[in-house]
Amino acid sequence: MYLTREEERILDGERGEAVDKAMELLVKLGDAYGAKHMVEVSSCHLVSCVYNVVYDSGLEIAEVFLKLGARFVVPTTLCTASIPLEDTEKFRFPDEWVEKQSKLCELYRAMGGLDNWTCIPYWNTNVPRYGEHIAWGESNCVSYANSIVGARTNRYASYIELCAAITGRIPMIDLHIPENRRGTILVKLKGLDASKMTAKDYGALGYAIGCVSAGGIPVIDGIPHTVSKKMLRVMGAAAASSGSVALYHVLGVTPEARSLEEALGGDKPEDRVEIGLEELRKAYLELSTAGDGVVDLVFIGCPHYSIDQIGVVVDMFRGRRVHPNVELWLATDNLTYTLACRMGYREVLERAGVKFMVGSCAMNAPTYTRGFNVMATDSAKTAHYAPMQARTDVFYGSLEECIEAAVEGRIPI
Amino acid sequence: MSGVRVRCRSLTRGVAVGEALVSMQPFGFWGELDPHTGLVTDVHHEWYGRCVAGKILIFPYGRGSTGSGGVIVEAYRRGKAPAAIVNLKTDFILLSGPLSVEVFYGGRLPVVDRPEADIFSMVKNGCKVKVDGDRGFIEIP
Repeated sequence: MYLTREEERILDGERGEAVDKAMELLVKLGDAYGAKHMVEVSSCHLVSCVYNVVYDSGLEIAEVFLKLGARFVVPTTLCTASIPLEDTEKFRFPDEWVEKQSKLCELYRAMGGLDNWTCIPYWNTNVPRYGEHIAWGESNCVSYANSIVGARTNRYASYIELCAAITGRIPMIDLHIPENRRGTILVKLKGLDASKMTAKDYGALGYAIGCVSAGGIPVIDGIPHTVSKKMLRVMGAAAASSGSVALYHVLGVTPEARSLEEALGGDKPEDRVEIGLEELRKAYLELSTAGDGVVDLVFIGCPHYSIDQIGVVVDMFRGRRVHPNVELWLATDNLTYTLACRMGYREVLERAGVKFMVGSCAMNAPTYTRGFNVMATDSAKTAHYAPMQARTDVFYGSLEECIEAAVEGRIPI
Repeated sequence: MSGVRVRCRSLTRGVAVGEALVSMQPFGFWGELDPHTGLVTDVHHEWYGRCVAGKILIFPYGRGSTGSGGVIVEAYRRGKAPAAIVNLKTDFILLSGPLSVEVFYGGRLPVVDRPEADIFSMVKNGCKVKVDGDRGFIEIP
């Protein structure tokens, strides 16, 4: 791979050991995939700071980097932590997790990470621009930045994004290269009126898109240009979890798909699929492992809720309370939580029995240690991972159905 | 050891010999493998209950979450990592694990992909296989 003089100096150790080590990993990555050169990134979003994906080795590596003098050279945000960062003790998670994630928080703050642990950095603290090269981790973040914004990143994790934050660079591979961003699978919506679809429908649609897109870049035809960013991010998060979709295009909606020709890069699609009511029904069936009966955990806020979504929950709870046998966790980031406090939302919701899960979520936290049996959630992504991660059965419902489940302690019929 | 050599693309350096564990199913590591024990924990996977430590893992490609690499590094640190990985196509998420093993732990975990022959019909479970990440081939007796 071609290296600039500065990059060579870094590799020769002239800029210190930390940058040298970080550059070594990036060069190995670039060489493995035949990158021609590095590209400068304008921001990073890290997942290597999250205990449940890096374990004890993640702590060791961060400690080594800090000791060697690592410091982030571009704006760097941190993803959803493995313990709630406010009222931690209310969740009764094991001390070991609290200690280890707290230590990771300390190490990443010291390297210059922005202390707002969230999977929606694109909403407030790390907003990329069209065409920018960035090095981001976490599948919904990557999907949003690539697809809705048109920034350029691959799905990075396990210290690649960390090394990018320390060097300000990433090898020019895969989705950083314009030719590799063209759509390969044409997905037509059949018999679905997308303008009437709810968030629950968009989650199931995303799940179905992921299932047919393995390894490809879907171009979705049939979603009106009036669709909200919120619906798109729900769809993208679901497609990323069922099919590792790092980039999708929506015809006439997302920035690299103003026309079919642009979306496909002038080529014919490698594959064409139709998604209709039947496919959505199948997605609903696969996403819910529990059809009826008692619920003991309700989880909302995946991806992290924005302030207006919390406002909707407040309206739903007027005069109602969470059932005594149920816990309801609402996940959001620290900034949004501060706003929820200022607007009086926290008071209303906490009085109704809701627990704010600040800077964390039910999938990254050790929810399994609490021994819940059935979780209800309004997130297709959480529904997909819950049986494995939280070791619960799961009911995938609309927000209304989830609140109903929390209040009644049962899956609504 | 001598046998049939299949040329591959080399992604990380190192040479490993071990028993093959073969599956046509994709494998995602995170949530599917316990790095403390090396045991496969995904009930939907045909490797469920098997131990990957010291094995040559042969599967088409990775899948799922961004956590694969972290699981591989942790398994390596605890002596429970596979000896080598052979894929049809290896993604960055998976490769970040063996790369980090090299850079942060000074170890070797050879990964090769794009084999030039149909290895799934050539290699059976338990078969002793050599993976050469330095020269880019796998050797089957």
